[in-house]
Amino acid sequence: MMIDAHAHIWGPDLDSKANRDMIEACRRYGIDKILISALFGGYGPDEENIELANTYLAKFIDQYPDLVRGMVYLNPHHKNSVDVMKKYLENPKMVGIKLWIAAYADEPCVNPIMEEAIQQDVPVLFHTWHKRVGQLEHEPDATHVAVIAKRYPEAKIQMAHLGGNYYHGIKAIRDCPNVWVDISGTPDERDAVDYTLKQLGSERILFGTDMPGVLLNCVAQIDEADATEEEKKNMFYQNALRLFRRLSE
Amino acid sequence: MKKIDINTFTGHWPFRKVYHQSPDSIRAYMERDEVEQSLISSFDSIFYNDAFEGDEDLHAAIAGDRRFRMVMTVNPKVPGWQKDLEYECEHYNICAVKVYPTYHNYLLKDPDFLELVSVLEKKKLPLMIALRLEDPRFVYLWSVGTIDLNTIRVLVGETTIPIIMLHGLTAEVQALAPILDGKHNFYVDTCGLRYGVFPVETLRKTVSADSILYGSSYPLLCAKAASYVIERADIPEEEKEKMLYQNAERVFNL
Amino acid sequence: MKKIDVNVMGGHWPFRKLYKEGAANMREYYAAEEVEWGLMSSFNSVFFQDAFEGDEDLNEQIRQIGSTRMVMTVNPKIPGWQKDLEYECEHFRICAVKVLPQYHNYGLEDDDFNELLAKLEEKRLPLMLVMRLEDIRNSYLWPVGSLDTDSIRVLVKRTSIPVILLHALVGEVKLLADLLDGKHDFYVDTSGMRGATFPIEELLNSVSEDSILYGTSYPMLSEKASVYIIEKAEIADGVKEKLFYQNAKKLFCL
Repeated sequence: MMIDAHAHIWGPDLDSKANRDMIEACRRYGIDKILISALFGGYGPDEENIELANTYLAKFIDQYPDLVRGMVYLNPHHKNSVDVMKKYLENPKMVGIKLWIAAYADEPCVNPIMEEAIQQDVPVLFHTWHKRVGQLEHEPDATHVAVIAKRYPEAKIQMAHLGGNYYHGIKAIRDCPNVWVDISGTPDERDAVDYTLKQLGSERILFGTDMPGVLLNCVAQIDEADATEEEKKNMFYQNALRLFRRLSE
Repeated sequence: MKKIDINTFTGHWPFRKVYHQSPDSIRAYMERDEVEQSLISSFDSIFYNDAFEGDEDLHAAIAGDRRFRMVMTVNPKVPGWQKDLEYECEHYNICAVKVYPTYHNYLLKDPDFLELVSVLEKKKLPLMIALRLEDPRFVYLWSVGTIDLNTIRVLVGETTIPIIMLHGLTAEVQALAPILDGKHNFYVDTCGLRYGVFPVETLRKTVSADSILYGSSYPLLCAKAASYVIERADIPEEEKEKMLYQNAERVFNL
Repeated sequence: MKKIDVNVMGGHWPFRKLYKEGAANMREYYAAEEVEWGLMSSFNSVFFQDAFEGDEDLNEQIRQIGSTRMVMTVNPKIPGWQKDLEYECEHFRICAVKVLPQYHNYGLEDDDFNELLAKLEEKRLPLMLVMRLEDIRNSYLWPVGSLDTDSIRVLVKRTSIPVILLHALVGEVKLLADLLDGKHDFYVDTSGMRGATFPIEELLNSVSEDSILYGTSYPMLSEKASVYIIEKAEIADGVKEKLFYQNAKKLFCL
């Protein structure tokens, strides 16, 4: 079994080649569930784009109800972000929240979202990257995630891309037991998963791809890791089932 | 499926601990993934002032093991490589030369580099050009630039020897598709083909199956990432065989 | 004359082949030069993104050498060093922490560096400050500058822990002579004392004999260079003993 905890749709054309490839890839590689967020409207989407993104995501879920689950996309700067969150979480196939690069993870505007996520027992997925070149304005890294994780120890947090650069990201959150990391989109360095296993153990690592951008190196990294079969099962799906309560409902 | 990996390393990578850098680890990978032969070069030779000293150690590490063929690393900006090249041809049975213009800070029109190309033409030795070794966002202490793809296009048009571009990303390979047509003596490996859901199927629309070679950059990168893009692609088996080993046999006379 | 070398290196230097790398060579050096203790840090820990992984390997190397105390390398710009420091204090018995601000790209006023400094003050651990690792004129791929002596002066005045400056040149030591008076907790090693015919005699005119420590940077630099400048100096044997041995024994409680 495989659960892809990190993938996207990028626009309202739900039948785009990218989306069709993503669905075909799930079939071909045995991905049983794929957790998708819709990222419309650039780095700082307005309220209209957020609404569109989540509406189209709900339609996409309806097209593939057995396969696709949703992560509600929010811009924490919007005054209505908690209302949007509540509205879309009424759909039981929406299983978590996605925040991208509109705000650092530890900005005060993120607090109400965290509090509502705790109430509803849904994880919050933060994009993270620490880049030598090309860091975007307001692009969070793992140090921001560590701050919000310690501020809300009851919250369940998914930190994307192993923190971007795993040597910067993993140790920043290793003492935050409420942070899980996903391996999506990471460049295919041979040792990224083994290093993360050494620091965190297998129960806080999630398989994710970042499709349609990236796929096979994420599958390959777990297949190639110096891990036991049980540890690989944890990463491929068992941890996701434990983290996302709504996947089991 | 049987494979030849045209892009493996041993030696020391400076910027992180590489867990499987020993020759025995490379052998274990080859047995696990049905890699019958690998073309191997040295990390040390990239970073040492005298690349030859890294190659000496590499040769000692793989001596007598016919599953390996050695690829010499040359920095043409450091004097004396000509004699070292003669020596390595004679004593190390090298099957190609690998260059790192961005690490060694020169352009592909540099006279020293062009001298190297002309020596390789006389010896009919293939030239491997590494576009990068790691994702520039990951770089720790010391950023390196990129190679202008147009200069590769010019080089391929002007030389007779095989040119193999290593670690090109999917979009970079697409940009050079007109000369990856199976007619030009130009090839790419698979270690950089990580973007896209079906990268090889996508590339196959514009790139010849004769121009793609399996190369992993193991143990720096994940070997299965480089092989899955071929093995799991929805393409004819004979094309997979070409990419996984037959093209390499032909290009490197293995 | 017995010695304590406060500056020996383990691990792998990336930019040239060091012929005397490894535990066996270090043991030979200790025996040949009557080195009773060496304080060792890791080249790998300078260049690895996770310095701790270099220190783990160094701990193993130190086991093989014996008579060696470990110096931890910290890059305070990388998250997580706090827990690694606790671990190394408890499990590796480190006797100092080494920093390389110019390699890791921060200044001595940096907030993260100040957090490290506060932690060392709490633990009463000496700080080793590396001016350089090699002559910048000989840098191969990546030239790294040296530290500004004014910022070192500010640091020494504001901290209560011992600060040991490594690989400073004679001219730089002279600029800081007023702080090297045996009263401030500030020291220099001998590994950079080039650029004068009789450096020790010259420096002892303005620097206290209590402030100079024998340190070689071996196997990167020649151990004999540091041995000779003390051994051949026309100074009292009692002073030589301080420089070779007594000052370090007292400072690091060996």
